[in-house]
Amino acid sequence: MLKKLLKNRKGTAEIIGSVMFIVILLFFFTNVYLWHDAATKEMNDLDVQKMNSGMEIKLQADGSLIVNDTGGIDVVLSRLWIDENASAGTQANHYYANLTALSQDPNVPGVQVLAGQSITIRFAIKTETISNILPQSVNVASLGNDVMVYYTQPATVSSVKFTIVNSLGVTSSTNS
Amino acid sequence: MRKMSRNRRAVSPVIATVLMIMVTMIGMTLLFAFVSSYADAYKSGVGSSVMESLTVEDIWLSPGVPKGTYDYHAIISVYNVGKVDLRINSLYVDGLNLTTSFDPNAIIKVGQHVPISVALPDSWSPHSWVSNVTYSFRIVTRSGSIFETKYTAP
Repeated sequence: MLKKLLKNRKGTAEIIGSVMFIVILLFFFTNVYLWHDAATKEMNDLDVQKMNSGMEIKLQADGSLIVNDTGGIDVVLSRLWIDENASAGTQANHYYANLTALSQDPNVPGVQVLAGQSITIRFAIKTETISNILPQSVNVASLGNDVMVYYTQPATVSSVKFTIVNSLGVTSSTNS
Repeated sequence: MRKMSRNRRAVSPVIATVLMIMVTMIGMTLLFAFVSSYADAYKSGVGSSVMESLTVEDIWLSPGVPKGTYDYHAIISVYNVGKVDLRINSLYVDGLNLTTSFDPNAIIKVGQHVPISVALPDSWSPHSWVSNVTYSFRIVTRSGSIFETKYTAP
């Protein structure tokens, strides 16, 4: 039976042709599959980085903020949000300090905090804001390894919520 | 030479073979072009949604009259922390489409922070944000990624 089948050559070309066609099609679509696989892996790596980039923000007695990198990797601080909680009958403003402006390395889009280390964010008297487009930004400056943010809490504001955002989109908040 | 050119035998198989090779080449070229364009469209279209990531870093509700209340405007600040540029297609609050002046063709580049002005739809009652109410915001990108966040009005 098997011998007879092997001797029968009819239809062999069609089978070989079909197999080759399928192989060529697979070769084409493997390109899409491999790209999708690589993209998924890259985003999974990003998620792992986010989980490892823990931050802690603490308000000090002198009014400054300490940002601790509690994760296993270095983090790059991108923005500090200052959300005012106004007293009853007053307007609450939201400001942001653009920390990417303090970047000294084109590959580091912001203020870098090494793993296990911390930086201090100090506040100085609020200067004129850079732009009137909402939300308004406040001026920032480097202070050695620390950061100076030109913002003062108005008397009409009962408390302020500070939120730090790193370059991976991880946030950490504290209230004054 | 003259004898060869006069000999017409086997011309037909040669022409047939040449034609078959040509048809096969044209067919494979067309297939390759289709697959290439499909792969490129997938990578820059729906496929790119895998690499999109957006963080809502701040929501500011516009104050109303009298002071201490809100009107119906808000500014949602988003930050593109993904690996590809993205376009925002629509924004929702508690499942209802928010009115926005944001250009749906505007590209939010990787690492870019963008404030988006939105307004509650006219059908929303009351037509203003309310203190201590938690709102569920949903941002949908052109590629189909969905990013959600909850915000309680202070």
